[in-house]
Amino acid sequence: MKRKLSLFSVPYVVWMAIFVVAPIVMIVVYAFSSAAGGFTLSNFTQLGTYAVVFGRSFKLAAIATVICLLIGYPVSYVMSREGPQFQRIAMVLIMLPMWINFLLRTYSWMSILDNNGLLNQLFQSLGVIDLYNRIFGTDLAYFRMLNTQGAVVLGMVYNYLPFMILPIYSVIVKLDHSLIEAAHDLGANTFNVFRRVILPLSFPGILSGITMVFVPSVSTFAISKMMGGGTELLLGDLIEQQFLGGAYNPQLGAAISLVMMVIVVVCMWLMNHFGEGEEQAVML
Amino acid sequence: MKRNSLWNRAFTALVFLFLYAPIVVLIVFSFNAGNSNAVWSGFSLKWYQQLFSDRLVMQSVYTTLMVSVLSTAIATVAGTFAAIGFHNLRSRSQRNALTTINNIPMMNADIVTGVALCLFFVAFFGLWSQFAGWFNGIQQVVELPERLTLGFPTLLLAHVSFNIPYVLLSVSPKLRQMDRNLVDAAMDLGCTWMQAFWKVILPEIKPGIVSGALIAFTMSVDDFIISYFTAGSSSSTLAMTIYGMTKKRVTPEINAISTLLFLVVLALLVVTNLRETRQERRSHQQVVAAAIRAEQRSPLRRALPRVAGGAAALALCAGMVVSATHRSNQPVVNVCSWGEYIDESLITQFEEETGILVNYQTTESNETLYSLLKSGAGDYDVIVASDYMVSQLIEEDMLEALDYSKIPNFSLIDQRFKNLNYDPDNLYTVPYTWGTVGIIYNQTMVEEPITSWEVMFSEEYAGNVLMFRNSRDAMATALLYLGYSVNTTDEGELREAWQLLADAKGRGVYQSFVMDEIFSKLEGGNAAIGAYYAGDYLTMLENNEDLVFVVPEEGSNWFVDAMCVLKDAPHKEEAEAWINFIASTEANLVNMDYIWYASPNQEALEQYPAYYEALYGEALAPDLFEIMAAPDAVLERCQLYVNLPYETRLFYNQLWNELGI
Repeated sequence: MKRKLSLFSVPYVVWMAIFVVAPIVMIVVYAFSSAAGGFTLSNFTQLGTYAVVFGRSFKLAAIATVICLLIGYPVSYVMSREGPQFQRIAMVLIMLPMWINFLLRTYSWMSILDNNGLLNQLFQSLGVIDLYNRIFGTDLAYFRMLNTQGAVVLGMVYNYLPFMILPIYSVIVKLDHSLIEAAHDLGANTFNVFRRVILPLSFPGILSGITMVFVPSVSTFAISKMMGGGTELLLGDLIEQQFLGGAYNPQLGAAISLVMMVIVVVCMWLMNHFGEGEEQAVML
Repeated sequence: MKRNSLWNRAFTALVFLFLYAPIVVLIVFSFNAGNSNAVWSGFSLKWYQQLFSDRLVMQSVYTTLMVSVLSTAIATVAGTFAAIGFHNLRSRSQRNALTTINNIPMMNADIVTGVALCLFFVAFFGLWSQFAGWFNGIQQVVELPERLTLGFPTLLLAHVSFNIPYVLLSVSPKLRQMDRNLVDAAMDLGCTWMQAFWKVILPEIKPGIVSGALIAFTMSVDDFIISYFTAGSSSSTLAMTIYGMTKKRVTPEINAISTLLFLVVLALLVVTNLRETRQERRSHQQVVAAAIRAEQRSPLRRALPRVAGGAAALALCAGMVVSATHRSNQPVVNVCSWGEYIDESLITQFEEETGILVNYQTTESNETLYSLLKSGAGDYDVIVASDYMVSQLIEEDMLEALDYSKIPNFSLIDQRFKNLNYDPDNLYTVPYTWGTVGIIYNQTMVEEPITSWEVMFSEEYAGNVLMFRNSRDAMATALLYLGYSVNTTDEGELREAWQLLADAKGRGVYQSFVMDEIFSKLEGGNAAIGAYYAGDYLTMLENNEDLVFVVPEEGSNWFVDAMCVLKDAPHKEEAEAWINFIASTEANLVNMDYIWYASPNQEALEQYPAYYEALYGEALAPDLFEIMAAPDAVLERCQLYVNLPYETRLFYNQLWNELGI
């Protein structure tokens, strides 16, 4: 049985060889070649300058992932305990905002968060800003929310939160409830049931969720440009700049994205390693 | 099972509020009478009315739905089988290796995936044409097409390939969660392995499949950059069309179509849920016997909707293929320009007059266009590019010399705009529009009128200044202030200009670096000062009357956007017919009124004030006309960009990257 089912992977392995591996080989070739076409390492040696950008991207992506997990897990958990009809609707409702173009959603966030935006106008009319000024002795006309790193993280969380909720939800909803009842019967309190039973059992979903949020957050572009004011580049912008910026320099772009991928693969490998160990621990 | 507490529900409600807040704002602005995303100028349904006559948007909606639905369906099936296959691999290291490879497309920056796929397709087409040539040579029975181009099929392949990993990633955890003994038990009880698959595995992993499909569909709808590089010149998705508009502004029509799509999905959701609820209720009331009867009939009944769905999908595919082949008999011209840079009625008018079908695509910058051309993704006939990009394309021998005898309207173009330094002998171009760059400021937010570039670098209005987000224009503001040429190649001068920008950035002068976001920021009073193009100022003025435009005393940059034909374009004659049509006085008048950029056609420029008065019943303010079409006295202070040598462009790029670090 197992043998036969494993044959299902053959077509996809062929597909991956064509559409995943072949383009990757091209990227590697580009990364190691100069504009004239010869072999060079210079694309990598100049990467040192961009260490700050690497650091910033991974930091912001990690923060966004943690926030997504902190919001996404409780939501999935709460959802899984509602009636089946609510669950069906809620699952689509969570994805639905994402079907509206990214750019439009980002423009909307900008008009909400801007200096003279909806939120600041609301604070103004509620007297929140005056109150703040009186308490802290400041002289603010508005709260600066847009064009900060916080806004970039908000953009990431907003865009990738559904990708955290869905995999976790689809695992939690199929949890074996007899296990939970057994744990209760054996005297575990709610917290312990959660920590010792539910959390470990939902680990595969958490891992998928983290991958689906962290990975695209690292390479995202446009969010930092629009929400962060474009004053601090992220990796995605840096790469985009090499292809669509003033100088067409795909070699450097390929090199940056290759290094980024290697770092991400290492992160993911570490996490999966940790994750698989955890899964086994549960089964033992 | 315990129910959720009120607190839990309130938390979930807050998360939903967070998810839907921007959507509500977006829907509200789709009813805006003005064209702004920041300033409310009254309720109106005009964007909905215009939407249905907007062929570009409607066609891209159609393409988007086709691509997303088909690629989601294919990717969901393929990804599910692949996940089952991976899960059942004996060796764990093999499984891990394959999973890592599967994750690669997700880790890659979209643009890299897009370019890589494009290069791959183009390389394949090259091999194919050799093969087809050889094959057609040795036999006459089957004739293979020799020239393949990017188009809907490559777009679909690209979408499927970036969708599968997401399906796999959401199905895998379900498989890991499944009790391994279930399948064995089923088979012990006499199931064939096919039955075991359908009756045991599939129901177990169904939530994973559904969420995988949802994610795949979402990725597909939202992607634009991979689509850019794989869609070719004939089809364009909604996301591509929207990004194409960001050189100018995204029209609220897009808000309107998004609102409509959103409401349709919501309605479908409500209807299907109501039906399911009713069915559930009815089945509760039914007697056991009826339930059994229903059970006996159910396989057919259950299969019917699936068959119908499959048939509908097939019919759609067939319809698309037929319409695609049908089109190929008609003469075609592929045009690439900026978004919102033409009055679209002109496209329809041209098609009616000549019978030539126009495939109109848009990009958002000269550099994107160049990148598309360079990687082989853009097989257009006519492109619109700015002066410096035109000279770069001429230098790299990427343009075809025009046959001006086929373009009689070229004689109407003002002498001032012929033989400019980007095309000194005027062999390749017909000008499309021209204009100046200047400072736009909100007169209620500044102390005194602004006349100099100094304001872009001084602390006086720190935190209220918007700077260009492209290296050439941003550096030009600094170079002009320092009194250098905007075309300097001297690294010392460039470094000095960069230092000026970097210092100002360090002191917090810039609120943000912007392109089209400048519209909402200046219109909404979120920033006081910014540099941008004259034509766009006139658009902003419609939403905020406090804005003022000035060409600084140090001088500025003026630009010409020109139409050209690409080397070896397959539809050169049609391309020249299009250029001739657009260069006519009537077309220029219509266009000028729509986009607010000045026309290079002398007649059109002279007639425009009268045309405006006849159309709107009020005279065009002379100072506004002078901002649109700068008089010679102003133009003398301005410089045209020329193409910079490759080394200087790299230096610009390096400086720009350093600024962002």
